[in-house]
Amino acid sequence: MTAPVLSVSALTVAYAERPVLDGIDLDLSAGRVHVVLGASGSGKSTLLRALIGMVPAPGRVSARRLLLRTAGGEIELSTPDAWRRVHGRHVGLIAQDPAQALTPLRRVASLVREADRLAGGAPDRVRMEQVLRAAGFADPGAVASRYCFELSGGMAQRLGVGLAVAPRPSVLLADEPSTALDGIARARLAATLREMAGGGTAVVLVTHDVALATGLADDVTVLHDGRIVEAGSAADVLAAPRHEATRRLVDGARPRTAAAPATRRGTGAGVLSVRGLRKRYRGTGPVLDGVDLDVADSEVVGIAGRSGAGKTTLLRCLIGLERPDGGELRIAGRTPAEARWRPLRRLVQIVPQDPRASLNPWRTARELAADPLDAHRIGTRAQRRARADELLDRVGLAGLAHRRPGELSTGQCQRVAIARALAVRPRLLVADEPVTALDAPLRRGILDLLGDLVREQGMAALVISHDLYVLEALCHRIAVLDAGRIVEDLPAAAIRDDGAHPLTRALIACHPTGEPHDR
Amino acid sequence: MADRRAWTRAAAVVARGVATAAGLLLVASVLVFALVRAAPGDAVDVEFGESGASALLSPEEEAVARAQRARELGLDRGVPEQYVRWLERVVRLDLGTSFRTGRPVVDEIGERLAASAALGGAGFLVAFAGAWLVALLSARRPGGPVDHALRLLSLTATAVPTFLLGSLGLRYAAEWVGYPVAGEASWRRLWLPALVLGVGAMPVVARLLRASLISEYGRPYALAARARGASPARLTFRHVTRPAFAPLLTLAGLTLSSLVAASVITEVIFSWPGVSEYAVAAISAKDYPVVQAYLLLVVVVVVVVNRAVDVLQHLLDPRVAHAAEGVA
Amino acid sequence: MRATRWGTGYGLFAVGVVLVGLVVALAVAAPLISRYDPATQGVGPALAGPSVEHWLGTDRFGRDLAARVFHGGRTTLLATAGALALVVSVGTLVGAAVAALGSIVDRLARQLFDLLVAFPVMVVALALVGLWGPSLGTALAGVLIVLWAPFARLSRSLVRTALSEPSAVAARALGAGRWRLLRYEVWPRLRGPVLVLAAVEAAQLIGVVAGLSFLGLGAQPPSAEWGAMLQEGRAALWSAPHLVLAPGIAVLATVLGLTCMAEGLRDMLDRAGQAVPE
Repeated sequence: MTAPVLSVSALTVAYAERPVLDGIDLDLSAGRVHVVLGASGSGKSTLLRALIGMVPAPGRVSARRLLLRTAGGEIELSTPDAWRRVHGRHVGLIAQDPAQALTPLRRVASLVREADRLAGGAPDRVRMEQVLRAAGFADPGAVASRYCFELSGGMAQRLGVGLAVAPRPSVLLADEPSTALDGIARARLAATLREMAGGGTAVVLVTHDVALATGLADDVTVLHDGRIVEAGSAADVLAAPRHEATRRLVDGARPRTAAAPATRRGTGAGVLSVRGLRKRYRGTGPVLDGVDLDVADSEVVGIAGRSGAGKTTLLRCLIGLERPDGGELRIAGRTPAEARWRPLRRLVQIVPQDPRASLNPWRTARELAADPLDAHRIGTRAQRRARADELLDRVGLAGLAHRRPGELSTGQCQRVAIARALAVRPRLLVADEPVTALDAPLRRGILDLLGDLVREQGMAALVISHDLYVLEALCHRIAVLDAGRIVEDLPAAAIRDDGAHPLTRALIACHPTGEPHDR
Repeated sequence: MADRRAWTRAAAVVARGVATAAGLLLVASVLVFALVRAAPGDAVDVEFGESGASALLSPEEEAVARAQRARELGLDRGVPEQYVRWLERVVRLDLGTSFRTGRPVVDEIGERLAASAALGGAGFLVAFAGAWLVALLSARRPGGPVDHALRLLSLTATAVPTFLLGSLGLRYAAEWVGYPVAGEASWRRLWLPALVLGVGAMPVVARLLRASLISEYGRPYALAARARGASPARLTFRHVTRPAFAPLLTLAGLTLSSLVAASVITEVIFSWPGVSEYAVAAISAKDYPVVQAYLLLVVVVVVVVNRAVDVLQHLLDPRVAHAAEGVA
Repeated sequence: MRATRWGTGYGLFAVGVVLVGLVVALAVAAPLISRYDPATQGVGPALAGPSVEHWLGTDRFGRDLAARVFHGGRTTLLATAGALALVVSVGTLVGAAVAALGSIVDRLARQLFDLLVAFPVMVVALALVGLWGPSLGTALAGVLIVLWAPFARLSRSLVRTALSEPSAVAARALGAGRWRLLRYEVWPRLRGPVLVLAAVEAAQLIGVVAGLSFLGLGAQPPSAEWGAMLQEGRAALWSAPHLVLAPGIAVLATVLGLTCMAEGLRDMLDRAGQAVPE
């Protein structure tokens, strides 16, 4: 076996005496994909920054050895100058959010040329077009003169990856692909990383996403509280996790097939009925292009779709934050025009996407949970408080009623948001990406809670997510939204077998069933 | 193809800038007219001075002349018509004659414009050059000793009143380096008032630029550029500067207003033969036509510069244009 | 850690409060601290420098300078506080109302605010003084005409952002009415930045009023007001610079205190994730 490309031993990073990373040993071999797995707060982002020599200001880095072996010899990475010599030539970085990682006010061509020059090349037009073509731009001339901020998310990702990959670095670091990327863009990134490893690069991917790691990793290192708690080949670590932290990560990612609810059809008009809903913003194409959707009483319906499919706009129309251009919307049989929104909002309550941002930071958990009761003037003050406490107990926040969102974890914030949505006993609960903001180990708990509550209260629910596992865990029926239309509407149990639309198939392909497997 | 689109967009941006400027000037003209009309004394007073101030006419003659002039100016008509006539005269640059010198106000002000512009421009340069330096030094290590020291300095500079800095500066510069206290506008006399003006305007600009630089340095694209091997200098000047500068242009417009305000005091202290110094002397002498002309001049300069900055910002940062069109 | 405490802005804010508090206390307690009447001439030799008898020296007419600075603070500070209270309340309300009305009113009002904000306060005050004649009241009126606009602009933009915050959107979707949104979502996001701006503008106001008086266009001698004292001292700048320095430093201390308060508060809000727009 050849010597590792990058050897790290006893790497420690500390902020004001507090170590964030403690005694990390890591060997990266050419041609292998090495996944660093960890929940947020485990120190994995700091590790990535340390591996590229860019730990943010007050952080102090020390290591017994940080050695890079290149064709031209060994480089000890102990000074900023040494790092600068390897940046862009031997070590490359693929950032988390591609759209944010391109200098917005530079043109594509200029950025490509600069990267080439910094990697030691002598850039000309031909080389620039080569790089763009390799990055998947069929017509490099068309994209070269555009500003980076004008690129779509997908194009930005291709360019960002292309820039990092072009100099054929011996070590390629990839930050966790952002949740802003849909499954297909993530799959494309995974393919590129695999391909680079095939070409002899040592690839490092830092993530909390076991599903992504499963399909990609040769080696896995699990990070917990700044230490390596488990390391080995992907097959060993993921199939038989020994450490508690690994187990929680793996469990959180696995679909909950057992609890998948049976198909159920309610009777009567149902709680929500949407016919031909259309919406278009100024200067764009139609965002909603005739959506039909029904939710019966006590039925849980999921809406799946890629980012940009119109999920958010549909949601905003359903709760009266956006006025549709056309079509009909009935809540409990009444249109908003007949009934006005205020009383209808008592029937439809939401659990918003970003739990922390959607809670008023100046108010306590109890005040927040009681807020809809106050707003709709239901019961006496004492009754509202009692109901809020009861709900907080139910979602597992007993004793935390006096805390404000700043003093709660993200998972706890989401529990407050759920309690708040239940306060007025709505007939329909709308959950927008209920677990996207949460780490894998927390997701399971929130999904269980939501499922149990919906069943207990006998209300209907609409769950919006780009994650098929989430929808399968909660819903009776799944509708797939694409380009403003519902292109598939099937019972949850049947979607994997009967889903016919290409997008449905792509979605299923990104969310395989079963155990993590060896490749 | 893309070029043509860019040109069309630029032309539209400029056209819109001109249109808003015209609209704003119209609104401002109404405000100025209202102010002048609400003042004790009307347009006749503006020409004749306060009642009995004329040395050439007897009281009876003056009363007749006043009444005749009032009719000519349309003061017996309704207010809207008076405004229209007033605006006509303003647009023709017919702003009356100064009581004190008997010369057209426009000529008097025109002669002093160059001196004021030179002082304002020099002050602007001092402010921005200083702010750049301060911001670059402090943004390199936010919270470090250099940052703290510069911040303390900025705070003090904001707090020192212009008149204190100006009069003490004048006194000690004259004593120590033989600064010429009186005389024509000249380079030898320009540097000190320019420094006083610039130091006053600098801290606000520096603070904004510092914050802007720090936030841009922390963005993912800056990290990505470093990872591709960009040196600190390249990172600063090729990647971060342009985005960091975007909010600054707006500030440049606002800095103008603080420069104009500070130049009032600076010009007086340094006996700088500019417009503001002239206006202050006119105010003390109740020279109404000059006061009105001065106010109008500042209105035009402020509106035009602010609109120009806005247009420039659209051209320099195409993201603004996108956002404005609702495309982003 | 010291650096962190300074970084939070708390220390800076405290320094500002102490400075401003000191100035206010001296002004309020002026008759108790100083034995001399600010208007009585000949309590000491003319143009004497600082001494035990006369802490800050005496002016041209042999009046005690310390007594004049302390008493002068009363006029200056009272006028500033009154004017400020007026512009803050009017501006904030107008801005909020405009944001609530929205659409065309909002767009036109924004242009007007921008125009007024860009306009030098000093020049409006000058023009008013030129048309009505010099006095402290006229100078203040000139300041009031334009100084409400920054508050209106700030409050307009804050109300708009506050209403589009996820927590406000969520509250609305859950059924909160207009008043609940104002009380719980808008007001907490409004108060801090408005306070910062108030401190900034108070500093500007004091500077402008003192500057006008310095030019002989504001408060008129013989009244003991800082600006008026500055104007008197200007004539003796060469022989007795302490005549300018004494009231000048009083202005400096007040403005420095207000600036520190504004900066410190801005840092604290920044920490709390609430940026103050310029």
